[in-house]
Amino acid sequence: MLETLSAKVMAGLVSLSMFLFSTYTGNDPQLSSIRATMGRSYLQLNTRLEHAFDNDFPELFKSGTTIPVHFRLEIKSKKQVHWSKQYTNSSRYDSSTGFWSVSQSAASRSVKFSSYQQMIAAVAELDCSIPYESNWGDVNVKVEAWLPTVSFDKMDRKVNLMVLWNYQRPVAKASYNLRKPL
Amino acid sequence: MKFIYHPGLRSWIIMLFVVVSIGGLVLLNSFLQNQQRQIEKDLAKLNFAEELREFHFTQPEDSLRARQIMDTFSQAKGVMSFTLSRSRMYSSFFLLLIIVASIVVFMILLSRIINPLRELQKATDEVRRGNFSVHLPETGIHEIKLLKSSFNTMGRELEAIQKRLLVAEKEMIWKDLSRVLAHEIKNPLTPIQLAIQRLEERYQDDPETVIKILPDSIAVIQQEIENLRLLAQDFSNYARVTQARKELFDPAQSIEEICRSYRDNRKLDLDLEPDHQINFDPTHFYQIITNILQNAMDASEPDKPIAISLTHERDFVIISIRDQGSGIDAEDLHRIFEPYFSRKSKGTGLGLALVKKLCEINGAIPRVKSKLNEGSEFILIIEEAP
Repeated sequence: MLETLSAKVMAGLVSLSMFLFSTYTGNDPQLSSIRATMGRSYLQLNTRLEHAFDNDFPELFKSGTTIPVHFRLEIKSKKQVHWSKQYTNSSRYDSSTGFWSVSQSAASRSVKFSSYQQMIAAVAELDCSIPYESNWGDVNVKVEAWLPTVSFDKMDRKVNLMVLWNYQRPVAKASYNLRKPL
Repeated sequence: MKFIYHPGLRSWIIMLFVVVSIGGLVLLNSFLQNQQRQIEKDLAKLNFAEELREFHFTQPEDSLRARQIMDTFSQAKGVMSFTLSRSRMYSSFFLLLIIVASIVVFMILLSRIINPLRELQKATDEVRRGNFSVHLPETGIHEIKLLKSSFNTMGRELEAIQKRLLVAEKEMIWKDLSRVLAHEIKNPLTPIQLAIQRLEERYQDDPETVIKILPDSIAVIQQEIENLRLLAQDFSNYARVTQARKELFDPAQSIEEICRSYRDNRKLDLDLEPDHQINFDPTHFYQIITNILQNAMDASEPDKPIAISLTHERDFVIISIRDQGSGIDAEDLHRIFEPYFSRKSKGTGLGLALVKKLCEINGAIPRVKSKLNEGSEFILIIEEAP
């Protein structure tokens, strides 16, 4: 609670200081509205990060270091948490071939891209299937995204990538009644 | 109403602080941000890794080595780019923190300077009102402590001087009063004594004829006793005046009535605007006019007329009593309303002092203009009743 509050205060102060004294804009990451489709026993959820990698990221994604993007999905009804899981998309550039390898833990797949835009679209997307039970009833779905501290081993440096998001953690929320078809 | 803002010391200091300190920091930040942006642009142009990839190495170890160089270069470029972005963000963030912190520190320091100055200003006002016992706590920064200490010392010294002055003034008043009383009592006593001596001598020399001079002597004695009574009444009047019983009346009518009894002996030129109302104690008004009129008659020859006028200016009634008498010496002009001050051979010096006192308690303002050997003009400024 205190950590969330201090993160929000920090994000507010950073935004205010940049608004007042800097032409630097950083990124203003947001998660798109959650799209949900219901199968017989699986709930398919999809959301994507928007405006998250507009500035400052190209050189990092080209650095040859694995850049992960974390998502946490939580499904809960009033009193009970039915599903809580962390998913990670990551991208790694191979400087000898000029290709990015993107892995998406939610879909358990790995794809190679030569286009920066395509790589960003893949890294920014969370697409996952959740086994559900209709007796969960009315549920609240919450997806939160954040960036970790990444280690650049050849430079012997660790950098907190949240700096580039102005310490903001984008969140998307939605409510569904799983007793009825969506 | 036109409002004109006069910036005080605090406003000037705040303006100076904002312009020099905060303005300087913002300019410096702007310069550094521009430099960082330029470095970012230059960094983006370095495409060493892409260029190296175009090379075709024949030896596998060369290829491996080239790959390691590309990786190191790419990581260095990524870290540099990140560091630049971070420094641009943090420089503005720390600038905000520095500005907030410096404003807080500045306001605290300013309050430690301005608040004692305000205390001093209030204390000075107290001293101006005559309260010399005001004492300031000797706290605050060193210079302010010294200033307060000096102020307290000044207050103590002024209080001591005031006490000494009060004692000296009381002594002087008693001396003046004693002199005036002795003089005024002695004046009627001499004729009384002479009348009694005359009666006594006649009674010893020729008792049969005492009856002939008796009425004259009794008349002298009675006259002088009356003078003594009037003298006592003057002092009593001056001491008794404390408050006014104000009434609305037309001052022109009142002046007409007062002048009626004097017109048989003196020429009075009246020029009185009618239909003005003043809120004034009528008895006090009578005393003021008769005192000034009596002074004017005493100061001028019997054939010289005395001009009395009543006009109005804005919300005030202006009453002027002008004589063509001996006038008042410029040196004495500022003292004529003081008690016991008189240049006349007869008089207690209480007449004009009484006029001033009565004017004060009725809210009127007495003024005097005079030229030696040309005459004097007494002016009363009284607020007209709405």
